[in-house]
Amino acid sequence: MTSPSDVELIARLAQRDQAALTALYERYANLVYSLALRVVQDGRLAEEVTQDVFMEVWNRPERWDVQKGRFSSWLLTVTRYTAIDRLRGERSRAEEMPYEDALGHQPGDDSLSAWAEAEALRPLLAQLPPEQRHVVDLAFFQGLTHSQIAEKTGLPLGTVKTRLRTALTRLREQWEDRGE
Amino acid sequence: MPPTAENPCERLADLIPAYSIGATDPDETAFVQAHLAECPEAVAHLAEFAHLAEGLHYAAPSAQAPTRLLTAIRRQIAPSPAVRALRPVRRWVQGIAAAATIALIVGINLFWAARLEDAERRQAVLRAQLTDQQTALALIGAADVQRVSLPAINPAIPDAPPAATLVSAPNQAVALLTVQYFPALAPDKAYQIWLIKAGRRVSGGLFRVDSEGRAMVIVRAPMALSAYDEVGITPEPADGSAAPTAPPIVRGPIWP
Repeated sequence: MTSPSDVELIARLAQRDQAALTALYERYANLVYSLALRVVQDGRLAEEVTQDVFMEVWNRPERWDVQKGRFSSWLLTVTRYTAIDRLRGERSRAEEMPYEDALGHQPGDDSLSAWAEAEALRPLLAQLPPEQRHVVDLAFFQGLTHSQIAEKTGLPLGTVKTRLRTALTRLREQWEDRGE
Repeated sequence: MPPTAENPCERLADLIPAYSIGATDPDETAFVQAHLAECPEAVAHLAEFAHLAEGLHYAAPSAQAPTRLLTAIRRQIAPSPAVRALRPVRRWVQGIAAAATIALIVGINLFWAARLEDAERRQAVLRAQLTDQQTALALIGAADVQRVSLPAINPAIPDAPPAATLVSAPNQAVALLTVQYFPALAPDKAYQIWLIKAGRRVSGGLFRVDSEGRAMVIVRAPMALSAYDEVGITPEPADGSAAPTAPPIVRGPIWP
């Protein structure tokens, strides 16, 4: 028997079908938790973020539709910003947590094509020069803008812009080249 | 820093990588949104970097979600008598909130969200902005995308008339609308988009403009846009109207 598609499961959520949420959770919980953990760098906070994200899906399934692209990407976008919001809240109460690069872990659920595609991106990210990787980390995983990164790192604003643009351009080109 | 006489498309090209992951500052974000529709190369550039941004979401090191999480979520969604009694009202309220977020401006960073004081609403706004941006990126990647300018109707300031540009594809039910020089509205008002077919109008969403009369909006239609002939924009109450209650600011054919 084939498992129900994301579209079918989301439609069932609108009928308040708890089994549909469980199915989505089992399909995507590791993806969501992994990204949340990458952003907040704290297991307990990552759990809270994961729970918030799935409750958002439960409470507002209509927020996603097929036209918005694949469900998992939408879910991860929500995860990233929920985690960044949570991180900002935590920062106001605690010292910033050290950045721990855990690249190289094996994916837990590899059934998703996008995840498989990102397999190639992960080492490319790790191979960036440290100064470029750091600005990508601050911008993407911590949600900081150009000027916020400059303020945080003490680097000139122009340097931050150049580093981020160079890093992202390099990542995109190398990622595309590997697919050819 | 205000834009100079430089070619805006060149500056856009520099900003697109950071914009695609939400790292541009508010003034840079406004610049991208104001000029994106007029720079086809930048649109293509953005679509490429959006693909990278999507991939980065999957590039976090893999970790196993604790099993207790599912238990906690199941406990949270289990219906209780009190929750059941409240649900119809709650879902109605959520429906209103969802309708309000339809009007949200595309953009990743905190430009708009920072203006909202309530944290929960701010978070909802951020999420909606992101999903809207994904929608916009999917749209601008469509092969049959078309762009039309909507003419101003009786502009109050003839030298700087309201201007609107619609980027759409016939088989899509969403379109990308950019506006500029739109008059500021009272807090209890919003602009409403109308999709018109043979004199019948359906709402395509609500939006507000920034201090300079600019906005970038996702238009949502009940069906594919090929079903409509014209689009118009009128000022309406903030929650929207069932039909236009004021003359249009701009109105014109959807298709060139």
